[in-house]
Amino acid sequence: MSILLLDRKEQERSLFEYGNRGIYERLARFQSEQNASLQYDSLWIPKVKLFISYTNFDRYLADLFDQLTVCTAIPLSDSASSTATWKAMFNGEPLPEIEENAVEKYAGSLDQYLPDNVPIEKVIKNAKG
Amino acid sequence: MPLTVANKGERIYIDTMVLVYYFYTKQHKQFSEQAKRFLQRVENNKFEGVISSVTLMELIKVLRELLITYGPIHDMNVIESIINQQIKELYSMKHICFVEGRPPDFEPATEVEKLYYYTIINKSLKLLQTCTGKVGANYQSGLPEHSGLHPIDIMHVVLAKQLNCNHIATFEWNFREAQGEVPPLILQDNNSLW
Repeated sequence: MSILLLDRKEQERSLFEYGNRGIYERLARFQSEQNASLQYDSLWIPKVKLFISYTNFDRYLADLFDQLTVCTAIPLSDSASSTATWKAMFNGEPLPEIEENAVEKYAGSLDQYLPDNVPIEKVIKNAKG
Repeated sequence: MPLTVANKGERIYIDTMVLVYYFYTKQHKQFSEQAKRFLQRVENNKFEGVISSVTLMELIKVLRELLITYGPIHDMNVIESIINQQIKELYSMKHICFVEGRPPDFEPATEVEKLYYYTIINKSLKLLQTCTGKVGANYQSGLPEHSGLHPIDIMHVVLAKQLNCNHIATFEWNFREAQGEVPPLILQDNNSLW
């Protein structure tokens, strides 16, 4: 099973080159010619993923993929992944509560521990090694 | 210079520099203001913010360097508690996803698992060969030095691409060298619209 991905920018570009209807027609033709199983739903909602070559669409697909799959955007599982990274650092401690206006509240929260004009770029460079 | 536009709803990988300038505002106030404004747009759900484990690791190291080298506190336990507090503050913000970049980070989907189940190391190694950087000059001594993406920056790029991020929010111009992978959203750049 191959996965065809098209991010929004690529999707917009493909739309520009082929037009909405044009893409459907090309996919259908490819499906027919290659006897491929083409699956899609809600193709034109934002963030739907479909891989399309800009330059030589049919040949590229034929060379690389024996089957087309159009899939929706890959959601990030916030709770699972946040919990995993949290546990790696603070195993046993509960996750902090989400706060309203936290960005405003915590901006500059390191300032009290540091003098003025610490050369951040230099420190970052050192930290990267 | 072409415009870089971050649209509403896009997923944006947050580079360590953005977080450092957000937490420490006494050096470069303009950058700090931009970092805060960007995070507020994430908080207000304009963008989906992504913070990776690599970013967290880098942030912890930078904060250790900052506090030990320039701060008055030299008790490691106290320093670690300050850093932990910064991390907890990040976790209390809305609409930020913390991810490692492996299948458990994604909703169950067979195709996705197949696509994403690999390490990022070799991809990073390959990209590092492409992003060679250039010969620059040390800003203090004027002597030649390499100017380009660090290996950990390369890992940020590979992770951002793997996580389907539309942009990398950063203050680091060197990310432009890898813009074919994931376009950087350089917050201080007048050509960046966000």
